[in-house]
Amino acid sequence: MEKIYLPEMDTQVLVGKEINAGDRTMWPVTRISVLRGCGDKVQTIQIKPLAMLIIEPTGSYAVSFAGEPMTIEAILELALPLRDVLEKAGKAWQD
Amino acid sequence: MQFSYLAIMFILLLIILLGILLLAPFNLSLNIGKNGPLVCGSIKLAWLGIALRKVEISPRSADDLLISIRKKEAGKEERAVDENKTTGKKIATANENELDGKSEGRERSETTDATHHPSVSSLIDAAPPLAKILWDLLKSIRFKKSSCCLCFGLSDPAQTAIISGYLWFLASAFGTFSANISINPWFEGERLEGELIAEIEARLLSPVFAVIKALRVREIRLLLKEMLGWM
Repeated sequence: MEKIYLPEMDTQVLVGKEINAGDRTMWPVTRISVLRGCGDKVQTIQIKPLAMLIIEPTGSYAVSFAGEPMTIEAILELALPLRDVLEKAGKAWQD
Repeated sequence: MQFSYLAIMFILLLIILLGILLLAPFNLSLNIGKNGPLVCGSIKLAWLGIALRKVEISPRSADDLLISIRKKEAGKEERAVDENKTTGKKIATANENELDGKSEGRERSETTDATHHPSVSSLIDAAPPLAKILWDLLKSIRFKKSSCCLCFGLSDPAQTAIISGYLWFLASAFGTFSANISINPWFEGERLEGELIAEIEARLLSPVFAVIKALRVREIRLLLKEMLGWM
């Protein structure tokens, strides 16, 4: 009897490359879903931008692409690597 | 009587040798891989089971490989500069001779300036038969085994996804040659790893047949004549 392979969905929330606009730095947070078929072959990729962390000299804030208000804590829950980014930015302001 | 017998035998032997040369396939096998920072592989050209050329790429880092390629290129450029200098000197002496009124100098300068470019109209005329010849040549190549496995990642995951989309588009085109292509995007940073294995078989019969067929076409003959400067 032949084996039936069901596709697997692998979802990751990742921080994209920073975008610089003057003094402002934006860190996009995207959700990448990869659908893998038999033999671990990639069948589809879906990229969905979720939110953005904006760091300005005056402060930092988060923007959700869903249109809902978003706190810094909420974006840090989504993407942990942003914690390091915020810490670095905080140190830079102190200097 | 004996001489004619020997001549017939010699001709038959030549025909058999030519037949073997045209019908026996040439095999080109490629095996190149990059695992971590190391690049290794081999390229082998064989005919009738005899290795005509074999190149082994010993495991070394991609940086070392790039440095060695750059060194080779720099060496070639230096040689080209030296050659230009020597040819420049030759042309200068030829011009001096010309000024002196020597006929030898004139001939030399004429031979150095002799370049034959085919006209655009003859190129356009020859394009359809040339395309047909190229198609015939491509048909003579057979992929016995081909597989490509690539895992790559860029600094931006979105860019990685976009580039992998382009690569899949190209892979689908190669999919018609029954190639086993696997492209895996890596979203967690920069990465490039992969392996290319290919075994290509080609017989000389089809290219020779294609060239003979091409020479029968008037447009190709005209193009060749123009390129050789016979017109």
